[in-house]
Amino acid sequence: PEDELVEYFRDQMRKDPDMASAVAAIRTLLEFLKRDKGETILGLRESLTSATTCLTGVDSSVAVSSGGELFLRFISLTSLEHQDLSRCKKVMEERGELFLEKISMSRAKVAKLCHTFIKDGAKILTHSYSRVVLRVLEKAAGEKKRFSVYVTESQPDAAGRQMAEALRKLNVPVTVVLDAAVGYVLEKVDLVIVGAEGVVESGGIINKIGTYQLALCSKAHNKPFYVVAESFKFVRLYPLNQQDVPDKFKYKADTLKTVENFSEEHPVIDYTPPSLITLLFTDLGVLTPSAVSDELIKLYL
Amino acid sequence: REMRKDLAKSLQSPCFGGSEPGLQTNFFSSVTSFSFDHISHLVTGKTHHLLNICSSIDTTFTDFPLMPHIAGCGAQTGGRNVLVNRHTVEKVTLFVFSVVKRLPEHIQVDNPDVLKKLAKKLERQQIPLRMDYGYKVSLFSHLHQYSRKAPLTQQVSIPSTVIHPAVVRLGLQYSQGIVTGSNARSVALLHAFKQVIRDYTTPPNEELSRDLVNKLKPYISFLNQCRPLSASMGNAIKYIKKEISNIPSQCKEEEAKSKLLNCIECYINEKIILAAKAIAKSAIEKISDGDVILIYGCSSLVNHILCEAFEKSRKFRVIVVDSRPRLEGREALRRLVQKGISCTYVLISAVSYVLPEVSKVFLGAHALLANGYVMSRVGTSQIALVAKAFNVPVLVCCETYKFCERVQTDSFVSNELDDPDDLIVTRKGKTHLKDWQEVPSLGLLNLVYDVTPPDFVDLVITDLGLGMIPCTSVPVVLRVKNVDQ
Repeated sequence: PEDELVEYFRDQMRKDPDMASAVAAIRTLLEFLKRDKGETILGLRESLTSATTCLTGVDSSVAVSSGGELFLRFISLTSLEHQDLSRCKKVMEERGELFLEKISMSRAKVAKLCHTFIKDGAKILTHSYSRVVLRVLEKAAGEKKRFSVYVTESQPDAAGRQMAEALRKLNVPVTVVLDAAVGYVLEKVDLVIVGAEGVVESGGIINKIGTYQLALCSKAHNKPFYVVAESFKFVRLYPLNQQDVPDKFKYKADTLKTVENFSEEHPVIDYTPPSLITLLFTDLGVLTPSAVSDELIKLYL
Repeated sequence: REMRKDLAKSLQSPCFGGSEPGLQTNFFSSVTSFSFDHISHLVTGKTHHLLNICSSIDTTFTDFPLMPHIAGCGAQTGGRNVLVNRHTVEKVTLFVFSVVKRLPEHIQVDNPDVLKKLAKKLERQQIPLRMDYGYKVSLFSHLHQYSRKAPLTQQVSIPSTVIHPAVVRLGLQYSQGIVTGSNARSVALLHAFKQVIRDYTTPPNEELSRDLVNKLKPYISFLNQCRPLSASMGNAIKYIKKEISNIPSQCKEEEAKSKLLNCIECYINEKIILAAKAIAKSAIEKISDGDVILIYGCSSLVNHILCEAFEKSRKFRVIVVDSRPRLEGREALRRLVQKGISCTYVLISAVSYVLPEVSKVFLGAHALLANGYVMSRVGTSQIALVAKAFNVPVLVCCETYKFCERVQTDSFVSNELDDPDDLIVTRKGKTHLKDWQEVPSLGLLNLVYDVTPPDFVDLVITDLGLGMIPCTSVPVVLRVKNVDQ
């Protein structure tokens, strides 16, 4: 069943490259729930938890683990009073479908909230390849706004070039800049928009390496730093500094499995503290970093 | 009732007849000193009355979900609420009422009327009035300043019919500094109250639920005279009073007493002992091997966390920062070294020297205020400030029973002044400040608490909610807690 799981997950990712990895993970978990032949609710919960762990072994991003945890909470949120296990499972499956439906709408909601902050003639700086940011810029372009975009190249995987390609298809003027040129280019831009792989309890974000630098420079230049993220990316983590982020998120899944000594490896994500973030656009609304903890308390209590 | 009369009087005063510039301030000053509960009463009870008066004022008052809610809401939103009337249409001025509860007397010492009222109250309760000692620095002249050499019981002995001897003992222990630290003080208070309840008998024709609460009032005044109550003690007293007044009247005395004793035991167990365990569990996750942890003064909770972490074989070393005149750090040092933790001891003046090697700062708190500010031993905000400048994360550990609904942005408004003679020190046989009273322009200031803004604090570890919360989420936890209760 583990290999089936992984295969299904990879399949989902392949079918729709635009889907967030967390959504694919939740689809997989829902399918797993449907196929599960467990006898008890506790057993079901345990097998779902182990399934989530298995999926994080394939894609070690923060979003997959947070999405899995939220899925589990959502389907077992209220007490299941039915005596019959199959009826309980049916209720859980229905809730799971509902959850999936809700989060599939989340990107559209975020785009609706954020595009109004992009004014005509704006120059935007963004980092690496983020599907949510792309969606936001799509919506803004659809509203006939004229803006230009600077994208950082974002090594080591040069994902920024992918972003630039996608933007060119939308007829948006785009320039790819080196990661090192962020300070140079910031005096020309009006606002900075980035996506997030995870939003932590303090209101800070975990995102592709280079985001922290970008945030620091924006603060120094007094440019607004906006983050766009769906609510399933809210994760139960509270890093105090860069070192405090657990190793399992810092490196790609393959690296975690093969490499022993991490001091040779370069992390692929970094942590941006909430003091550098102006606003977060989520499907729960437009939040300040201090309101994130509020929302998390509501979600988890 | 007096407040209602005053409010009605000021509303009827001729200056309210037209829209004059003095209008708003006048109304404000008569209102802000009132408790919110009374205002909401006034508006719902006599909406029409107020309507008539107000329609000549060009004001808007609306119905909010008035009632117990408003007092709660007011506190939650940090003290601002708009009272607007759904009947009146004249929308010209919007009044923003601050939820300013009546100012406690212990921060109005320079107001002679308040002092007179206090003296009358104490006379009624047969408690001696403690005199202030020495010259007070003008910024803090609104606070009491007592001398340790003149305890309350020196001149006058207090008969046990007035104050229970356990409470007298407790008061003396507070005023002489034998029992210090907010947890220790609260626990001692609760134990003393348990003794009081054990020895209590309901007088004939009285109900336990009402009489016991009245009996406790002079005790609390007495303890306040010995040493101003801490926020944790205030919350504990509120809890006890609530439990007592919830005793059903048909309950027999023995049963009621054992129920109360049980409640108090539960409170101590849940809010202090178990909370410490929960906090230690969360805090240990934040301590990694090779850490250098800085602590200040002696916080029972922080010491507990460090001892627990050491037992779970985390490898770290501690830097204990201390300050005069209390030198509480020495007690913390003693406890940690006994466990076998390697410690360094410095005075607060060396904090910027030692901070480059520190990886985390753990601080205890006396109280967490509703706007996210941390009230703690004087010197804490200094440490937090320097740590921020060096980019060292600051973690505050605090149980939820110390969260209070007060809002404060500076250390002046509400604080405590300790005995100024504590600052006198003898070095090499010379005591320079021995005759400080004779120098008319010299004042000695021995502050006890200070207030740290939330931007200097990175994380608050507590026992309710998610465990680890940012400082700005304290009012959220307060709200969740109130809903639970």
